[in-house]
Amino acid sequence: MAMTESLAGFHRPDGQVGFRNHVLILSVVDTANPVARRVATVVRNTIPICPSFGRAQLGEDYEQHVRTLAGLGSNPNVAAAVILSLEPVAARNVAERIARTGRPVEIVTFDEAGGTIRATEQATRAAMHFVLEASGLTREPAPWSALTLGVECGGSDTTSGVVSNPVVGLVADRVVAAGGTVILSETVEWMGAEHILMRRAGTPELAARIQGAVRWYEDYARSLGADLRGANPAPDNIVGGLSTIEEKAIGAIRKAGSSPITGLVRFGERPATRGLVLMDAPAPAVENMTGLGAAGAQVVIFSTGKGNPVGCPVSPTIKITGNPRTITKQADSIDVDVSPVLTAGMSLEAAADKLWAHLDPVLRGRLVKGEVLGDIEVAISRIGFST
Amino acid sequence: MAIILRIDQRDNVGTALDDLAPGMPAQVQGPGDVRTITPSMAIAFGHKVALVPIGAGEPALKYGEIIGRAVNAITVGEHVHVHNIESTRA
Repeated sequence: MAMTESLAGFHRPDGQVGFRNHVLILSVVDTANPVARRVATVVRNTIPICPSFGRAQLGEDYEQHVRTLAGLGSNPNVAAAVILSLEPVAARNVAERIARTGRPVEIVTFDEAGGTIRATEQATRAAMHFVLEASGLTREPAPWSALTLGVECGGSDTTSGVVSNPVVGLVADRVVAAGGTVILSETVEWMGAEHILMRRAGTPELAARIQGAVRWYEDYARSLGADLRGANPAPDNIVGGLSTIEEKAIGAIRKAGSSPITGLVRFGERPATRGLVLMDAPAPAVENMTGLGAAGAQVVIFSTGKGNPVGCPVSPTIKITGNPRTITKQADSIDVDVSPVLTAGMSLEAAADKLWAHLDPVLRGRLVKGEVLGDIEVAISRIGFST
Repeated sequence: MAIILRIDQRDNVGTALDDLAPGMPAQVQGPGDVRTITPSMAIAFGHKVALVPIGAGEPALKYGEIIGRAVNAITVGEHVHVHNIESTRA
């Protein structure tokens, strides 16, 4: 399928290009979440970001919280952010990082405003101004190299490994070939296929880090009495036809295509390289896509077998399935149907063309079902305990 | 005609995209020279079938990668699963 010469997006002050034009009402701490939701309800065209926790976190655990929120606020799809907090220190930790990207940021705290009603008023007014300004921005031509695509899977079944994941992988290859970036995450799903990822890693150090990322989860699970490797494939996988852990894992990583791997980043960390990058993060969809959004992915393609409704908080999430039953049963949450690969002899390449033909308009502004319904949620992975 | 998907031309197993009936020829979709396979047994949707003979100890290939190793000789059209291939990675 021919690629259009360029995309059309919002050029941000830091040189990144967004394919949406969001104003975030970004709470940095659970205490401020109710006000964030209130403001987002009052001001149209805003997105509330309401993380759990955010207070009395220490060290790397707190850094991950701040990095992720700053990353969400700095996603190229975001025009501006109102930062809500109980007090100013926590707000500034996030706001300063977002402000460095040159985009408008305004802090509203309960301490300074004098309670939640006054904070609601201030944040509403700030959000209104940001939405007005953002509404005057226009899309300009942008190269495909400005795109970061996140790939995700959830509700996997037998069709995922043979239909939807390979189809997504073909599209991922096209994005990389066009100079863009693809992020593959869900570390536990690499288990069984680490050797393949390591083979495609650019350096021995990167290969070792990839192996280490998977081993960390195995060790962690073992410390809690669970055997991740021994438990895969699971009984329902075996009934569905998966015979070995490597078959399952190779089918999973297939959604990232066949490109060489140029980097491995932490949860919510923006890649420093283009091409295919791995993000070490937990597999559950809300957490993982929070990380993808914070890492700068402007769109996510979500391969599902049984169906999964949720999307990335700041980026359109295209739901694709190859399961003909899911097309009808979960119709309200599926954007792209590639079940003709199963039912009508459609080739994987033709299915990739179909997905590509959906991706291009989505980048230009066509909405996906999850965006229309507001089916988004935020979860920032913890690596420590609150104190 | 029932369909078997071969994902990569190096694959020696295909994946049933329909429930396959024994003795009923199925069409192979995807790259490679093998165009039909007659399963020697019933093979459920999503399960694998041998596209060529696989010797004992030889790798089973899917996605162009090794997904396991044959524990005994496998004939063309035979069901390939946990009873006759084992993991090389576990």
